Amino acid sequence: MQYSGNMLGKYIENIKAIKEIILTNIVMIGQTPCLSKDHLEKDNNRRVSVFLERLCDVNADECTTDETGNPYAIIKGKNSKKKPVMLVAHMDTVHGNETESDYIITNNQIIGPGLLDNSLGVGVLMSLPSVLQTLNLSFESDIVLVGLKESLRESNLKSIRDVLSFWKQPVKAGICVEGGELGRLSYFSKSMIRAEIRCTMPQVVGLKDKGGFNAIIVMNEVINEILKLRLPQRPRTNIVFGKFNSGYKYGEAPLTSTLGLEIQSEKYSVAEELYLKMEEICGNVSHKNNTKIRIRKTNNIRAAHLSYYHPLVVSAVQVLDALNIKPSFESSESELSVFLANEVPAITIGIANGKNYHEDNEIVYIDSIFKGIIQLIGIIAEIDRGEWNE
Amino acid sequence: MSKTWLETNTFHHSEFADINKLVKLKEKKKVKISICFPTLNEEKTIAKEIIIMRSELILKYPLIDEILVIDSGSTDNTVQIARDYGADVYVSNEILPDLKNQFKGKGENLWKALYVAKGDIIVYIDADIKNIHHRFVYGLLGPLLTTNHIKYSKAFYDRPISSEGGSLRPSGGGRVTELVIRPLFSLLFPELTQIIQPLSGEYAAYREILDQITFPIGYGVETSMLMDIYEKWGLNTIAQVDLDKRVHRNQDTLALGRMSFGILQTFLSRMQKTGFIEINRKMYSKMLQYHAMDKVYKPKIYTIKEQERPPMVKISDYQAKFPNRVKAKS
Repeated sequence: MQYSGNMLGKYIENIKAIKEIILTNIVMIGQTPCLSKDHLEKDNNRRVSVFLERLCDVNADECTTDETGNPYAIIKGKNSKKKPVMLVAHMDTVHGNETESDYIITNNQIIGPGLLDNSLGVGVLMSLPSVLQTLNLSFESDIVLVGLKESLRESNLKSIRDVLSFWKQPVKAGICVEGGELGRLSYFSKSMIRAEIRCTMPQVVGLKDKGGFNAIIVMNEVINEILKLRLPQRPRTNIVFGKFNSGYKYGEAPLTSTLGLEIQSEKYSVAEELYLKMEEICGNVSHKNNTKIRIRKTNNIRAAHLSYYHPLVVSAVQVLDALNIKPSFESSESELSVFLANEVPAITIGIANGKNYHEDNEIVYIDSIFKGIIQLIGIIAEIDRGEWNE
Repeated sequence: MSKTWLETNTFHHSEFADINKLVKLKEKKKVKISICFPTLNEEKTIAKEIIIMRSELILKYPLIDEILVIDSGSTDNTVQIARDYGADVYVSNEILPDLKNQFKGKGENLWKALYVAKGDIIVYIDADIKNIHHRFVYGLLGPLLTTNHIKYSKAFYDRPISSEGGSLRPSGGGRVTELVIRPLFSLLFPELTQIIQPLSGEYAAYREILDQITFPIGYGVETSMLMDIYEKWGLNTIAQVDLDKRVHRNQDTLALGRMSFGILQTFLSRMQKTGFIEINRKMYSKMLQYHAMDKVYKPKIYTIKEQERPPMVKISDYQAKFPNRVKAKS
């Protein structure tokens, strides 16, 4: 693959010629309801079906599911002795809804829930065989395209763990494909513990206290105590309060409240230490207020990273530079960490520019998608060409 | 009543999911196929409809030869968006400009599409479908390409007979279908009651059928089309195809009342024209609906006059553009 200005322009024009196929894949996967655990038990895996149908339709090789139902397809390479490159995109979204979404397409935008995280990423993966065919590109290595059924929330990256545990062959490199933001380049994961704290007021028949028993106020005490914790500057450590849920009416004290938080640290033992302190805080506040406060871990990840000078990172930076995309280096506590924990060199990249992340009206700017796809193909080409990890 | 029509002429879109096979049949029959989207302020849905059809039925499988948008004068970005995504866009008033009258309505757009479309088969798809999928098109084309006798296929969206386990559930006609059309058909054309959703906005037909029937410009176009095709060529020319679920804008009861008014006009004038009934007094074209405001009921008058376009084959400009159609008819 050549990165001269003329060639890049030509690549982008060629991809634009099949933009309808790419947009259709994004819309079809994104409008299909997300999966939930209940649905899985009832054999409701419509996104898996869409993923496989669309890839079978363009004659991708080996369109099937692994032992745990994650769909994948392979674009066969020319050299069967080379290790494959694995591209993954999670198919669940933070919306977690079971209803069909309605995406709107205008001249230069797609609008709808779950686009940037991550129907755009999945849609691009599903479009890759058509894109490569249009660009008349092929690789030495097999390219494995994997849709991950369960990543977010309490799934705790279950799908990528399953995929890598069942995948028998060694993998040369992994690329985690996310919808946004173009320029994102993650090659390290911090340690992370996600926890949920639930406060439940004593249940007394007929109890309806308008001031005394209030789960929000008790949770506020917990938050204040957590805020008093001293966080070390090295290793870099942070606590993010991400979710809160409580209450029924303006004028009625809630009997339950739930707080979701994430402890991030460059060192797992520091995160673990902070979690233990939070357990203590919950115990203390619980006794003081005669309430039940429970804390539990919902996810945890240990820090892992590639060197900035790893050939995968170096070549990814080169590709972004050639495309005039300014790289944004940030940690990613997602599929990337599982790849790295399994000693597979991996990065996370974003495909397009957008806004209103995680809102119902997420926006993706269509023109930026094409550059994002070229970026992805450029990185695959560099991995394919590189002699490392063979 | 034909007992087997429902069985023999009712299909499910999945029967035609092998699009490659449809492409081969299309080539064998040497026909061209056009999709037509009639539009009026559909900027939220039109791009998606064009993109999906182009992706699946032009780029991936060469089943469709052209995508037309016939617009009634949208005031939003419908026209620009449709052009940007490669549809051939026409403003209805600018087609056949020398006609004595220009009307505004879905039927007018469908009728004028016959003049601008190149296809031997025209697939009409409403432009407000949120869950648009290419099955809407290949499903409708299936009966036309896989048989020789079916010339018109019409969509419906619910499984009519039974679900798993054999339990019955109501068939999926809308309110106007169940309260107006089906009772009328039951009274006068019981055979047509087998059509599950006579008012569905999606249908495909051979040009040779479409250019020989009249087109009401407004609400009555679907009803009149069915009645005319049934009258001229018989029920066996018609097929219906289950396209599963369709999500679109819902209309309130008052809007459906106006729709029923237009359909009844078309139906009664058809009956009168064919000598089925005689109406010995003037029919009015104004519909009164009442809105409660505080304690007063205020009437609102809607003028709904179902004008009709003659069979396109009678239009001289059309004859000049499609001389083989005149020849075929003679």
